[in-house]
Amino acid sequence: MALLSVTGLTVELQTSRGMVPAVRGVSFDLEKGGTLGVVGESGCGKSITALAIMGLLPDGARTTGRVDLDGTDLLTLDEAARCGIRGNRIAMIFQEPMTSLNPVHRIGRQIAEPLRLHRGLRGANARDEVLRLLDRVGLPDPARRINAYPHQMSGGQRQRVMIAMALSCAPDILLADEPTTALDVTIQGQILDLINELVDDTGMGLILISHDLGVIGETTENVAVMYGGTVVEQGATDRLFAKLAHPYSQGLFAAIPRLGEARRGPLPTIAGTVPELADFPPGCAFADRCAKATDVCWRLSPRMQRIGPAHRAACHHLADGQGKAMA
Amino acid sequence: MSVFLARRFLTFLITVSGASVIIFLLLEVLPGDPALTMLGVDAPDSAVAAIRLELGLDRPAAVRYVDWIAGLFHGEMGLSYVYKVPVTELIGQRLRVTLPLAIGAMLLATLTSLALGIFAATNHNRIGDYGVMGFSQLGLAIPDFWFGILLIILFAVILRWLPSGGFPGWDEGIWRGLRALALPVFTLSLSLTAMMTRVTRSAVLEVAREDFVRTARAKGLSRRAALWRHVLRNALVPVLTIGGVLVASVLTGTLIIENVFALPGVGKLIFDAISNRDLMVVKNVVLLFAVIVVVVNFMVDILYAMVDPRIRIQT
Repeated sequence: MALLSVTGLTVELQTSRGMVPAVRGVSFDLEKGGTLGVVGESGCGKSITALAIMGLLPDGARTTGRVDLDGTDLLTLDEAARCGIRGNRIAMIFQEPMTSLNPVHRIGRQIAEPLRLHRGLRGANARDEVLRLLDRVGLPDPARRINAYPHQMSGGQRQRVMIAMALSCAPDILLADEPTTALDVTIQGQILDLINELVDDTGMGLILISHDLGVIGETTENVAVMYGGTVVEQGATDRLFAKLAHPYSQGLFAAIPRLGEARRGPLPTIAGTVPELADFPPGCAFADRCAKATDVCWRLSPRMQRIGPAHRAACHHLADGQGKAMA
Repeated sequence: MSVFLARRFLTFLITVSGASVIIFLLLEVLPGDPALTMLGVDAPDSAVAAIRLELGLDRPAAVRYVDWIAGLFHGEMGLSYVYKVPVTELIGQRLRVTLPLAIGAMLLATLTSLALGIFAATNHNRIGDYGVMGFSQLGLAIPDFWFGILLIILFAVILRWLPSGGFPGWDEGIWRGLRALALPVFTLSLSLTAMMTRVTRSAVLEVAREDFVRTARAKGLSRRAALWRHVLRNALVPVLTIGGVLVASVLTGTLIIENVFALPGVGKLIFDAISNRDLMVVKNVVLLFAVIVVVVNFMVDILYAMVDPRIRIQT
């Protein structure tokens, strides 16, 4: 049995235009110690999926489907039980290290908070553990840094603090939502390496959310490509990268600029823009931007089909191209 | 920190000296001769001149200003034209009523508005929120003096629980003094509470949307724990700001409230002093109010730095 199993997850958000589906029938599994990348443009529902797993959706959101952790459906648990899981069994780090830490508390206190909450550690015990964590995430001079305020640290250092906080209770799963997007390129690599190393060392599962295919390709064993609140293609990272089946995945990969390759003409882009959540067509979410779209695409949602070992995609026209190797 | 304090003290001196000049000049140009007011308009010129000489009003304005300020440095505010007693003594007596009134109203407003504001924010867009907002709208709309009169009618005339006005003095026992101040304090706090409730509510709502609150929740903190440990302290800064500003309106509010409830406080003192052209009292009381406002805002600045570590670094 998978450690985390998301089945038919649908999330509707309250907006000025009524309830709008942001995530529509997302399913995936994460094995113990496994790594999953979730990739897609902004607004494709990847962050909302993560927040739904955490149970931290905005007020008024409606969630259906299942999110099973070790066989327990988290969506059926009450708030107190979910608080006991958050930060303890499932931890999360966010995109913006600059604003994700409380500006008025010292970082030591912020890291100690989950330790006190879930482990009952206090005083010197908590402090020792915080020092160990700060050292573990590679923050220089932890004994001094423990008393620093967030504004006295750089973005990379703050993200290390966030990671230390997430690690504090040795979670089974780490949800990392664009953890490097807000950082300088040189720092991005360091933070990713740190996350990889920690995943290897601790054996925790990782769900890495990113719009950056390079990051996903280097970091995770499995990948799910999301568009318009649905998973359009998923599978083992190497297989999926070797043979892109869905037109959206193909477009996404084609749009990556590559170093060392002479540019022939402008960089390929995916035509059109992501529609507003309320405006998605009833059929395939990608229909109005897809070159292959036909009548059936507008009418019917395509079903997930197996196209190879550990590789599935949802498209009415899979047979046409039978996938395309990554250029 | 010492640089911060030194700079603040300098600002304090400049502000207060500026205020003293403005107060003095305003009273110079305002119509109404104290001597004429004391003697009546029909008084012979010789009598008026004699009084002016006695009060020192015959000397040039600059000399009188320097005299006033020099006196302040010795802790002297001069003699009241009307009561013929030292102004310090008058103010000292009256502060025993006004300080408890002002501090009481401020405390009551702060506690009530924090409670109401947090309650409204945590019940955002629900009935509790609407109720609190409706109350605060009313509190802002109702004039102080009218609310005071309503309270007198209800609690003093109909229910007979509390005195309708006057002040027995603290010598008559603390309990009787507090009873006399209960309605005035409540009246004075109404508009303050209304305003601070709004500020508290919007500050809490704004901070609650911050990323770090989501982080706190992601650690496993309940909504309530995240509110107490992460939202409130950050939401205090705007509340402190408005609190500091409102101290000025509390002081001016005592003027009206002390008249409505016939309390012998500083507000009543200055009101009477203005009517009697007792300028010696007027300028000193107004300067005292200015000093209080500046000192309170200085304390607010220190509180800022205690609440938010980023402010300490920048000063």
